[in-house]
Amino acid sequence: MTLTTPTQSLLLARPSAAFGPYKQALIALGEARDDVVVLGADLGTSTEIDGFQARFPDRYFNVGAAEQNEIDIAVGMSFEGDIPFVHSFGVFLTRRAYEQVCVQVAMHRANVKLVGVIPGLTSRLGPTHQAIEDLALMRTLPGMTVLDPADATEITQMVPAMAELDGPVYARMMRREVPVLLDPERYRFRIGQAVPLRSGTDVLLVTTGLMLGPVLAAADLLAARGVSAAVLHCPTIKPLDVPAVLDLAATCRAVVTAENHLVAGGLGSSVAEVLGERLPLPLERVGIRDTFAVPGSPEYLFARYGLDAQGVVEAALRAVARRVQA
Amino acid sequence: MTSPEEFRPFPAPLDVAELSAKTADLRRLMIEVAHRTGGAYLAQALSGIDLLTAIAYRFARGDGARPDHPDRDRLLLSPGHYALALYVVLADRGYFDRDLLWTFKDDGSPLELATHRGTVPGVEASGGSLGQVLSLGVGMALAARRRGQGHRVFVMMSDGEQDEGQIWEAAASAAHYRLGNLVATIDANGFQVDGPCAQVMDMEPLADKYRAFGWDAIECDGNDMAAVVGAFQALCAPGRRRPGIVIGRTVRGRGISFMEGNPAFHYARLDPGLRDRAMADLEGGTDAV
Repeated sequence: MTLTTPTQSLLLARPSAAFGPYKQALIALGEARDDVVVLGADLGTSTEIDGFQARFPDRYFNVGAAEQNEIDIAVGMSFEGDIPFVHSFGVFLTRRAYEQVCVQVAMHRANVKLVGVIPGLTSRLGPTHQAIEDLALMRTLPGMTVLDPADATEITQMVPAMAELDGPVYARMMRREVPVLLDPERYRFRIGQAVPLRSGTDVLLVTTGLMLGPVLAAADLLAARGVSAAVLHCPTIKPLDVPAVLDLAATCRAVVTAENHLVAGGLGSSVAEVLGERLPLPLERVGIRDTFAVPGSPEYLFARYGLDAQGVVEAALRAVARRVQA
Repeated sequence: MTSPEEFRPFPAPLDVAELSAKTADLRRLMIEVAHRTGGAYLAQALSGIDLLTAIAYRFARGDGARPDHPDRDRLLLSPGHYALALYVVLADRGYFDRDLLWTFKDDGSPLELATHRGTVPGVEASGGSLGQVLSLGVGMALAARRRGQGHRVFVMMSDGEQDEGQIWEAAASAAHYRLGNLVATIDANGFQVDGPCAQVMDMEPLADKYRAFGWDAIECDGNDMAAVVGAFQALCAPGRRRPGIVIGRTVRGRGISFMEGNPAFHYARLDPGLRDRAMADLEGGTDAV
């Protein structure tokens, strides 16, 4: 068993951290394109759009704490040719303004980019602020592209790609200190493209967003126990890179998904649908079960709900054991 | 000589007498469409047609031959159930073939029971879900100002949809951004789905509410063309820095004696006898209305 594959070099040998990659990426986008406008809902600093505001005040609109109005204003701007990037915490864009997102953004395939900050269990404010079902809500909307970046490298490349795509996008966004796992020199993000980061023969680990770090650690732990794990990173939840999932799953014959989200409706469900229709295999899903989470630090919450390397290892061992029985 | 590419927003803006004659024509057309196609939401289409006619034939610059021209004024219909009123205006102004009207709400027809952007030229918003289109208008007005464009954005609303909280988010933002290029109107016919607005959810006084939100509001008889034109004229004055709204007090089923105030005609099916009675009410144009 070898751990060294051609694609493994996409990962930095020594992971680090970056501060505010979205803030910088948005300013760079504003410099590159004068059709990009930014909307906020009384969370300017909290969603890291204050840098854009300072640089491009005539393209920045703070509509106050009124997300429904914010989204429909953005739709009106998009009908006039602007490319609005719309910001709030993920919960407010998706839960509070769901109908606006559905019948104005998605129904018209409006060129509106929804940026939901503090994904999943990364908020300390408890269930009102933890976007744990946002991927499910956005994924079911016809024509919506859904993104969950893993690190600062991906965020930096994702922002211009969102503007390039003509159509609605929901992107989760991390703020402040963000891990850097992918090598900015070698990694190339493309919407709709999953990235094999490690090959293996026993179990395929499919990951998105912040679960990339724990999944890579889990692959090492599994290797130490003699289980060969492949890793497929899926920054695009929708449209899912179905060929990549099927190709790697076929080499492994058991699959584990991992996401900072409910197991219902997000990556796990997406992969289950593909496998169920095309390649039925033992599947285990790592994520939040059918519950709201308690308030707490991300470290505490990720461990409490099994969104860590240990949780992925246990799921992988269960999936592999089911394969042997079958 | 004009080239096909030239933007001709009006053959000529209509005066009050011509506008009154035009609404009579459009009422007859709506009756005929409702009769031939098996029915329509006529009560509100008839209450609001005078406000819509004034906007479309006098104040909103638009050219059916150039429906996407960047200099056109944007005319957005918020309550999609008023679809028939907008369709007859657009057909009459050459946005699409008038014969399309006879396919109204047929399966596969672009003329749906409620308006949806992208179906026919001139329908610039989707209004089936109430209370959202004023926000779109704010976005369009902001975009126009940022680009230095001089056109206006007109938004037609109903009184029933004033219940929706988002309307007031939009109203606050329009005043906050000093959108003098945004002109709204409410067809205040006093009824919503479950009954009189005063009983279902009383949102009056609407004019005072909009004024408190920073708008210039004018109330008038929304079925009196001279009053309607005067109100829009005041709010379309150049150089304004506040959004304006015309609250037109109207009567459901206006112009048709047996429909006025009759809840049985919220959604109206017109057999040949009812059609003929309606047409007789509208004979003579403005006098009958």
